[in-house]
Amino acid sequence: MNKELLQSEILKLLNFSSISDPEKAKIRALIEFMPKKNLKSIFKILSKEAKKIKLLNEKKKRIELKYKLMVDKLVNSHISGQQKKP
Amino acid sequence: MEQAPGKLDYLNPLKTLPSAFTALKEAVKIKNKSFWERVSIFWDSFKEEMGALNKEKEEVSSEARALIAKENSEVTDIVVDEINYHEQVEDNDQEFFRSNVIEPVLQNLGSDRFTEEQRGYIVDGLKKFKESSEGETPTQITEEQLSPTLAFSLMNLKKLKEQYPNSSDLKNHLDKIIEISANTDYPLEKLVTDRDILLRVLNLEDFSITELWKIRNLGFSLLGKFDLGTEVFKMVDPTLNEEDRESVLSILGKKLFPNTLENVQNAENLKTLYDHLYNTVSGKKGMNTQILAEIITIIDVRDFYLMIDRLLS
Repeated sequence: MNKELLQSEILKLLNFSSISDPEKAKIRALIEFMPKKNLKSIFKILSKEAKKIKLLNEKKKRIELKYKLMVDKLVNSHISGQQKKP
Repeated sequence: MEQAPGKLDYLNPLKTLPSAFTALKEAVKIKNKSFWERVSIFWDSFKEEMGALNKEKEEVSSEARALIAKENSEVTDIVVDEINYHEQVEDNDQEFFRSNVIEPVLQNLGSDRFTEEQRGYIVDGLKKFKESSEGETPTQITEEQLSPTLAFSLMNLKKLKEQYPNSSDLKNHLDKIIEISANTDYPLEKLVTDRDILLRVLNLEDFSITELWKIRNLGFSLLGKFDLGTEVFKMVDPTLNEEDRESVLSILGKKLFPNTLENVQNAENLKTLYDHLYNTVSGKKGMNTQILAEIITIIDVRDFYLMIDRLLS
């Protein structure tokens, strides 16, 4: 990846990163002057973070679905139990 | 039978599923606790899983934060090397300069108020100020460069105001910065005291009306942003009479510093501010850290934001 592409990818990743605003600001300010070595490292860190967060968000969705189904089941079983009562 | 809505509100799940609330209410009434136990196990298990997930997220974030801070610090070192301390400057002074000048300036430059393009213009604008401070006459600053560079300067002043609300504390702080910077390739004292630096960046002989007319396009563009009208050109007129002075003051107050003018004390302060600006621009009296600290202290922080937003609009 060339320097320009690394810079543009880093700027995109910053929008979703959970690092602090002052650190984001410093990257934006220094990005033009950064040696390729640092650009590569920052890109690697941010893309690794993005991948992990994406996986965790998917996991969260699965957990939400699991519990939604459990709530449904719990409520339904209680309602049908109530209906069976004379 | 009630269907669960598409999205469960985890902060208030009973609101999302009204029948769950009824079910829970019923559950506590039942002698046989099996339903309640099941509900309890359900929430415990839910909290546990979501808690573990949030913990994992926090670990990912803190790992990224630590690694990025290390990289940023390494790149900041490159900037620090550029500063080039001439004489033996104490380590704690170097640290003071880093944390009170370099770091905040970089954070302001990287503010998301600026677009990438504006950030580039700021760097170009600052280069012109550097050339001028070295006695060179750079090519005239452009309209695109001037507005964001001014906005960036105001952001730095605003940050100083927030850090040091008291004028004499701010003066001491500025003095210390200037003292350390005197032993670097970036002696900041000149930027505060030497009005010729700005004149060279604007390619002007002085701030007379005749000279200012040469940069009318630049001037009109800036005046337009503040909706000030050409009357403020009088501000630098050496023959300004009391009536004109009041008129310029009134325009500045209403358009530039509306929040500063909220009380009578500030209205008086505004006169002082105007005198400082008039004396500096007209060359009657030089700028120094005392005056700069007073100016920064007088201006309401909301007016700083107002000016910054207008310059960047």
